Amino acid sequence: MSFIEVTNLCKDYRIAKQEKGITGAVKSLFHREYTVKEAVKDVSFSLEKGEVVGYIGPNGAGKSTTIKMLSGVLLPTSGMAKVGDIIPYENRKENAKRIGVVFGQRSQLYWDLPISDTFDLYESLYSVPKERFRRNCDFFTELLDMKDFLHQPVRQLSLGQKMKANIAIALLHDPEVLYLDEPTIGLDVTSKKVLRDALKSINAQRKTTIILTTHDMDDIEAVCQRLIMIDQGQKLFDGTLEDFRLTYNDGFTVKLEFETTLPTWQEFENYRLLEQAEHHWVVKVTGGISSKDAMIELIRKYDPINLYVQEERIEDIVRRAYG
Amino acid sequence: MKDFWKLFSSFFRVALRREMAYRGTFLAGIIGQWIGYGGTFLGIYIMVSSFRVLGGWNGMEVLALYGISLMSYAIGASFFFNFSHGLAGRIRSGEFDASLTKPIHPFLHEVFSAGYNVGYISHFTVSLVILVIALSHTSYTPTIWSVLFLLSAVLGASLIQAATLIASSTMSFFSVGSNPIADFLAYDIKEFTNYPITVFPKGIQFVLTFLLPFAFMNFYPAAALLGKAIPEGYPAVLPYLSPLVGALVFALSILLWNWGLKHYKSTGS
Repeated sequence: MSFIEVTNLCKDYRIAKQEKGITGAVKSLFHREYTVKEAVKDVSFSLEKGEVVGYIGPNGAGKSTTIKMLSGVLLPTSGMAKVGDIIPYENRKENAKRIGVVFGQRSQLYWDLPISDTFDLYESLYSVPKERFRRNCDFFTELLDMKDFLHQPVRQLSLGQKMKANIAIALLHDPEVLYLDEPTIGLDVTSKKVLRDALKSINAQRKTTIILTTHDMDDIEAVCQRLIMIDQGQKLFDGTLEDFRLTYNDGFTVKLEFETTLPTWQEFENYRLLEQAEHHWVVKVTGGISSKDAMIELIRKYDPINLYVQEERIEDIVRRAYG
Repeated sequence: MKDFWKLFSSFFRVALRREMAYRGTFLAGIIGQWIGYGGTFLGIYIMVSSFRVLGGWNGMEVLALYGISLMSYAIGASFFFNFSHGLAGRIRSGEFDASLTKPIHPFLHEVFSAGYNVGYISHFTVSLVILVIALSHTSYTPTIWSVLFLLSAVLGASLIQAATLIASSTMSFFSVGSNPIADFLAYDIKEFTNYPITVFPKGIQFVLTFLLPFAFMNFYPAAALLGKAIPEGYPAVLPYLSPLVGALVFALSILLWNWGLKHYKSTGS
């Protein structure tokens, strides 16, 4: 049996229909109609201990709802989730001791106090033994580069600093699983890199299982071995990054640079002009043509001075996969 | 239980530090409240010193009712006001979900992290002054037993005040908009407790005793202390039941809150 088992998990939301105008508002006081939204529809997957999984999908796909059921916040409508032999929503407290959760844009820090105070609070909240707590504090302060702002009130911190602190407090009690809901949202390039590196070393050193949702495919490429994609509540893909590329890959792009004016583009099968500038083209090649053949063909036809082949970015593949 | 106190003291320390983080606001708040409640007190004082007898109670005795009510509110609200009034916002913003990922009961986590409202120290001091002035003008004679009785009554009353705040916050699990029904129960009905219930019609006496037992907050214990009559035909033991009733409604309000939570967990927000 796997460490995390999700079987036919479903979650429906009932949404009250709102009619327009004052008459609608008055009517809704007495009689409400509901539409049922299936936020998560029959999702199954299993994870081994120590896996790092990217859980992706467009806005409203059901990512956060899944995380909420796994962390014990919400009850599923049907189906089951099991995390290390515990059913999180039935045994919420027991589960809580073993997980760390970071809900992206919502900070769990007290904004008028320094982070070090919140740290101390979490020590007693999780009854972490003193010595282990000290060690973890030092470890994460170092790992996430937090020394400089540990004693400043949270309200003076930047978004990136707050996110680091939130991740640190989610890990002080050595959880076996870490759920991260959009941990890099709104962060600058440097903070993103620190976070990604930190997640990688946490996973490597502590065998922490990590599930993260994100819209930034660079997060996925940097830290995840595996990708689960959902859309409209349903699982569309589950596999390695490599498999994902193979499944959804649709060719590659070639950039052609010309010394002088551009030749005339002729439309032909499997070759499509994506971009055109004064001295270069970007051409999309599809249909399983090898890059070697494509290069020969393009050189023969247009005689460029430089030519670059570029693998399609995960981001572009995902955008197409969402439809 | 040992863990509970350890946790409580950790959160309490943090709450105090948060309050003290803004010394200026903190002091200004207390002084503001003193002026506000001092004004209310003067108003009531002038009013009660000009009327003679209300339902068998003289002005100073009515003032004592107000003193007990305000004191219990100060105690109950200092622990539960932030929690009660912040809950809807925390549910709306999603911050509440974090409380469900902690290894303690979400109610405890919410109450603890909402913080202790030190500002109610001003209500408390005002109520203490009122109570001392009022009681010193009545037949009340302080003995060890009567003081202990008064303390236990204030404790029971504080539990009733707390229960009111907890129960009204439960509405947030169903609708995160403002809820006038809860506000009515929490604030408007309590207005009745500024007067001895013997001045009200029988129906209201019944409601305030058996349905929404606000009369146990101040009327019944004060009746015992001052030797006043309770509504005709009611059990003579009622004036001594405040701590019990307080504990009971407090427990009920938590059960109610848990029921709301269950709804939240199955519907989301």
